[in-house]
Amino acid sequence: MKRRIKVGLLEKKACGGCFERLKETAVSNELLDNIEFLDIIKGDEKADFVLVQGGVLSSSQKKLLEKISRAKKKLILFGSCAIDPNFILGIKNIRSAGEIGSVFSSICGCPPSNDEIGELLKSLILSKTIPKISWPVCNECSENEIKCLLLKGEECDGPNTLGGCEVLCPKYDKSCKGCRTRLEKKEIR
Amino acid sequence: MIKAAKGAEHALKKKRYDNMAKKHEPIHGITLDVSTPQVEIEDSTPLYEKAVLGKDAINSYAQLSRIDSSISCAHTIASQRAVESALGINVSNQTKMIRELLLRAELIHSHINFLYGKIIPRLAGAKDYFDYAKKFRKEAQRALIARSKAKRILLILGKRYPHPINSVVGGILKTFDDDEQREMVRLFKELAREVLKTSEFLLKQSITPFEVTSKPLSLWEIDTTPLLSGKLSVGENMRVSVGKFFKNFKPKESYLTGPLARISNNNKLLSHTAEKIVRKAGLNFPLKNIFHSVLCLTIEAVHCAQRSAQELEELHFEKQDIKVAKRRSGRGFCAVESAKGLLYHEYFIGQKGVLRSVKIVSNVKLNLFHLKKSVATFPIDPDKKTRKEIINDISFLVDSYYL
Repeated sequence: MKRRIKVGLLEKKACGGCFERLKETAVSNELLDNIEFLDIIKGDEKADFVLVQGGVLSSSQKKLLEKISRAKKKLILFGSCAIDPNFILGIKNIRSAGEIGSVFSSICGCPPSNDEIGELLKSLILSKTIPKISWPVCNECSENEIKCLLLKGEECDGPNTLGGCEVLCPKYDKSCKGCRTRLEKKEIR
Repeated sequence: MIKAAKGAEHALKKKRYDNMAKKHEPIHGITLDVSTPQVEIEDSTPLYEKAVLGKDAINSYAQLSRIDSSISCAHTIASQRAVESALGINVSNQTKMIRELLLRAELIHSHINFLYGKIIPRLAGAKDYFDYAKKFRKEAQRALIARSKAKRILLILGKRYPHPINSVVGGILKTFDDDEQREMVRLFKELAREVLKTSEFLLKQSITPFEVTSKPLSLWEIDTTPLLSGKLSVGENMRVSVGKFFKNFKPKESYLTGPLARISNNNKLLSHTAEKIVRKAGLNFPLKNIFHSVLCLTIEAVHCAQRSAQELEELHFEKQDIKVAKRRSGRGFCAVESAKGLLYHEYFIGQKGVLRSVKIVSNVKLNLFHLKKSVATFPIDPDKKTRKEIINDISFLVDSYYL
């Protein structure tokens, strides 16, 4: 892979875990020869892609995203908070960047796994979108022979939630809280 | 200096700066204007306080752990302990021990992340972490390995990181087996050695003299260096029980919290190797130079790693049942030491087990006042330093507060 891309990082209201994992993945996968990461907060406008972490709360954040959108940067919703911040964080009046600008690609997870991030970064180098996850957590429970918590009478968000988490919570008898966002979100690829 | 900036010199300096560059130069989300240095940092805890109001108290920790991923275990445990205190649940000593280990592992992970993500790249003259990782590949990979060791411990204890799932209201879902226990001992020992090397590097760096007049606030106990128990201590003169937090402390007045405060208040009980770093650095307590907080990260990480390895070698863990919580009303509180500083959670739970009142004092809220004051009074010399150098100095000062 000789192609070199510029990826802007834009942090909105979030815990910061997604970009921390991004740093870890980019360095451990030795992708820094192919990707130059730019801090959008510093006003860097040279980015080919803009990864957004977290939800949009203030009008200044909204304006910045509109500016990025007008500049036709490819917007990527990075992590569940960027896709559905209201559901994940429960904060009132918080919006997804996807409601403000058009989305090129998105990746769910709280935070997304290293493998998923690695796959996303490699696909960006090739200017491609990553394959869409279309199955619920329940499928993975069945595959892993984990007893259904709903059948045990517990509340579980598994049927409504995107899979790919390797059933981390049900594995320990904990019901799914939907941290990988809702299955019906259409913009998820 | 802020007085000087407001005085007659201000106009001259401002003119000079206006000619130098743009008015605002944002750094890591912090807006900085070097003509009248000030920081704008938002404490997001009030948003989360509102977000969990009216929700099930027992599960509120999952949302509150999202306040800050790097201290997600600390917020999780603080929330669970506050709920347990409100519902009258007494957890076992084993649960307390596993939670303490979880806090220590998170502290080491967070300190390594901060040192190698911000401090060392800055000292190495790199633009940011990515620039550092590209220029110093070997060192960056070494830091990643250390970080992955701390993360592995967090996964054994918390089963997920960030946002652990193994600790719940009433206990711990799954303990670890003997192999995992031995693995943690080995990893803690390796981490202590690794951080010790970093401390040797930091000891060679010159420290900017800049004293703050803040009072160090941390948890304190007579025979241990607690992260989860004890009294609230402000130096040796004031020690009060956690439940009297709001009677004694006004968060807006602010106390200094974090590694510098903890080492200042608990320096007599450090591990042998951590004490060695203190001696080599020639530190005098209480610590007043905020730039020493960087070295305190290594002292604390070495201490926590050695203590944890030692305790894990001696302890035996067994499967225990979770204490079932009866939904009832009550007031509960808890103070926890996170990597970045003290967290205080206080809740009032209504009849149906939902949160009726939530008060969270975060490390950001506690440190913000002093940070702003420090930035405003930090000696800047526009005649000797360039704008870039001044911004770099102030950014280092901001980083030293570890927000």
